[in-house]
Amino acid sequence: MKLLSPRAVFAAIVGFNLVALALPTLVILGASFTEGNMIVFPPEGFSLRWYEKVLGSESLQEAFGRSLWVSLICTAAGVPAGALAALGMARFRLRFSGVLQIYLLLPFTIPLIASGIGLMLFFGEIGVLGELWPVGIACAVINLPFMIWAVLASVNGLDPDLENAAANCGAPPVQTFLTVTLPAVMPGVITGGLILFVLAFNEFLVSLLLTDAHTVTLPVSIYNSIRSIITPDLAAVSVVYIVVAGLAIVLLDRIVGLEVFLRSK
Amino acid sequence: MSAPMVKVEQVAKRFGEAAAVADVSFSLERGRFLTILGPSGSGKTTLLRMIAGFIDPSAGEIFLKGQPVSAMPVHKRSIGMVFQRLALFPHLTAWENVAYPLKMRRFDPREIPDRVARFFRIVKLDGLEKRRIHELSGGQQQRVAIARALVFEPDLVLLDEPLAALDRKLREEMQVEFRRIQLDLGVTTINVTHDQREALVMSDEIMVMDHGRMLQLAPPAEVYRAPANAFVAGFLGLTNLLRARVLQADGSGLRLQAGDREWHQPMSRQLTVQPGTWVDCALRAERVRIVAADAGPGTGEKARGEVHDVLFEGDRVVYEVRAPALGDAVVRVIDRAPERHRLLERGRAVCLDWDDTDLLVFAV
Ligand SMILES: Nc1ncnc2c1ncn2[C@@H]1O[C@H](COP(=O)(O)OP(=O)(O)OP(=O)(O)O)[C@@H](O)[C@H]1O
Ligand SMILES: [Mg+2]
Repeated sequence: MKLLSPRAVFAAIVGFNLVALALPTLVILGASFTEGNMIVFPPEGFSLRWYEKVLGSESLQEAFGRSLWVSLICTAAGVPAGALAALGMARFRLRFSGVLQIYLLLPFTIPLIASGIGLMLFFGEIGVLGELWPVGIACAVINLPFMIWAVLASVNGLDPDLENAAANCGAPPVQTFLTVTLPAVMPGVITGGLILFVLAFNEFLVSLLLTDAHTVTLPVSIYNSIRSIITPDLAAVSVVYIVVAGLAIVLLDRIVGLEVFLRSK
Repeated sequence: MSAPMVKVEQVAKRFGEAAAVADVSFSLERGRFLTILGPSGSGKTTLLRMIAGFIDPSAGEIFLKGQPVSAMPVHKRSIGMVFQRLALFPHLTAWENVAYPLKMRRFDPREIPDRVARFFRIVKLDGLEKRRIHELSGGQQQRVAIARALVFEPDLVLLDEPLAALDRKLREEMQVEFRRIQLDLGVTTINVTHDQREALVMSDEIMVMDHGRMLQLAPPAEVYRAPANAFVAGFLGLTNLLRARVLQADGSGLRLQAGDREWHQPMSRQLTVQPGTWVDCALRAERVRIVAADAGPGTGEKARGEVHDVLFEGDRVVYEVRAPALGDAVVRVIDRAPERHRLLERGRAVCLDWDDTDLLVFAV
């Protein structure tokens, strides 16, 4: 008699993992549709009233808009900086490449609260604290390693003869960079850019330190409302996040093709 | 008389202490096909990359059509190259890959489509223009790379073992194919390989390299029949190499000794060696005759031995014969007509014979 086939065991493990990973998402998704006034799971009845409330709330809308703006600034600043840093590191086999990598990882290894305070002091000193764009810059600085990693993965997979081939075809260095190098590392650049965008959109701690009452971003705004009473509209806002993350993945798949950066070749 | 298409003058390349290429000089006339042949690490790629301009020589100068090119950047040289790993642009289609050099070299945009189409026909890829590179087979990618290197009709085309990765049948097809295209277009070509058959089949001239040095530069038949030294003799074809001691040297030839055997070796070309020194003797496996020792009185014999191994390869048989008289040397013998007579089995006592003129002697 056959006990469990390896296939069934494998399917069970995968299934369990999927449920475990998706559980918080499913709970919050369910809770957002509740009819009652309390955030509970399973939801009581079904309604879209909390979505109505969220969509109707001017302060949440404004916070959402500010978060988008911060994400855009973070992406706009982080993508060129990270992409060029990665290309430089790969291309010139810099003498201190190892040290440089560690240095670039620093913002990532220091507790966010520490770098947040550092950035707060810095922006305060130059007198821009309370404006929105420094939040985006701060997010770019902190999350730069992700961008660099994403591009490095693309660059390292690059045949060094590709650029020789372009030159051999008659392309001067700038043309070679624009027509061959850049397109070849594009999957990495797009991936890194989307990661930067989503991370900046979610960024809480640094925003908390760098924003004031007029410039709260969405996560900070949510945090502020948790401190009063927890109502199901928070669940609805959380779903907004899930949708944004989902959109990012769909976008990635559309533009780059997920298999491009999942493939082993 | 016009300047040769390529002229390489005492070019050397050192990486740190080691010399990858040492003092190489040659020139190549318009329309000729030169193959650089040598074992792995002999400096073939390094030499080719200096001509293309990817690396600068440590010494010497390279001329294209009489112009020194050391100060000329890669993209200004009229050289097409087919890379070892092809280096096709993965984000472009086959058509865009072939059109790329035309755009970069500012060809008239109205002329580009026709020209690309013509080269797709030349490499027999018409119909596949729209494919991405990864949607093409290995052989088809090869053709795209060849078209990209040829499409702007460069002064010179360089090939760095692009065929090495193909299976044997396809490789031999591509060799013939490329040679046909090369002759049609009359483009000067330098090809790098360590496949001796490819070198012999395709080239007008073969340059043999070892340890960064140029050992011989001559047409294929000459390199094969009159190798410049024992290394070249051993590198092309299946060759027996035997060390022998010079007992006596005079105008008529040499008296040589190897193992227990002493013989008079008539010399067709001048070789100044002193008695008491050593020489290398090279003997092509296909020039050795082999008969069973008990086959009755033979016409002649130079050595006796015992069949040590038999390699049946279909159209030929390679015997490895151990010859105690020659200092226990193993002599390899090719029998090209194995279907005409019975195979000699392992352990069989045999007589070996060859013509004096087939034994080539080189100073050590
Ligand atoms: N960038 C480099 N740095 C240091 N040494 C190098 C470099 N490139 C090549 N060499 C050395 O120079 C020598 C010649 O290398 P080259 O690549 O020209 O050989 P090759 O004849 O093309 O060999 P193969 O048939 O294996 O391709 C080798 O010993 C190699 O290790
Ligand atoms: Mg090589």
